[in-house]
Amino acid sequence: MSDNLEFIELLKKGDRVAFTELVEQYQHIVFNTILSIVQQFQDAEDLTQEVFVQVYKSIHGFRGDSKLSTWIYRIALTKSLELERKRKAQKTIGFFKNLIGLDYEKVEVKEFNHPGIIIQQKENASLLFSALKKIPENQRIAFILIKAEGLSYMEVSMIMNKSIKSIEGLIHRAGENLREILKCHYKEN
Amino acid sequence: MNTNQKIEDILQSMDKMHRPVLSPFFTAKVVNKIFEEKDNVIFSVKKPLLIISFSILLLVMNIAIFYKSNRNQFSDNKASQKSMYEFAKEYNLNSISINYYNELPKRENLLPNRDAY
Repeated sequence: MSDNLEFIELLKKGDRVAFTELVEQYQHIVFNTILSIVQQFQDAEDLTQEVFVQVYKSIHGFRGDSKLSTWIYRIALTKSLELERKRKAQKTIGFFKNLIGLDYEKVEVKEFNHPGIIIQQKENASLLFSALKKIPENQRIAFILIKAEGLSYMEVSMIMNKSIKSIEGLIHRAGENLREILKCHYKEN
Repeated sequence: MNTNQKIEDILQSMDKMHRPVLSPFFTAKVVNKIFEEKDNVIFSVKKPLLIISFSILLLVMNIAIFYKSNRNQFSDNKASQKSMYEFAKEYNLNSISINYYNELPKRENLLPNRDAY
């Protein structure tokens, strides 16, 4: 339905009913992807809204080379990574402010509990999300799209604009890095 | 359970996760936001245009009013001023008496009636 040309034309015309349908259809996948990356409920909800506003603004540029879902995933990932970079920059500024003795309110990193994880796995998933923050961006995205979103390697390769081989490599390296981080965690505790 | 087994369990912990459900009002909230922004964009684009067109209209109206109220000083009257100058030159009159002589009949027209005085 979403890749129906007629539906895309309605979106391009700014049809309100079509946009309502689009939001209803994609809000959960967008929210889940963003939440798995930014790991904060409120930020994820705000970013999900921003993604749909961006979709509305950019739909005229959608040429239909890829599936609509792939295109929306890309916007969601871009927005999430922008927020991540913004947070990192704030952290760096905070560090320097601390060094020169200026007042800086340190943001406490809370343990993240994904609401979609089954109760028995809450503790394990929390450790996994914490470890995910420490691996490179590309590996993290590939891992989240496959594990949290349940996408195929093919779909992830389309979203990330990489070959399936590269995605396999990213997932392999992500697994290795996560194992290392978790091993260190168990050694320390 | 050894550490390696624990780690493997952790890595599998995301496997059976489901997508969290958002509030039922989320769709309406997002759609309203999208279309509010659209209206704002239209207004923000049109606002300067409206101001510029209104200013131009005011300027044109001012020019029209000014022209209308000072019409006598504009080119319409220049021709008659020139003719009065020519008239004065023709009859060797000074400029002060132009209006007076302008209203009188010409000298040659008066001559035939000279005897009447």
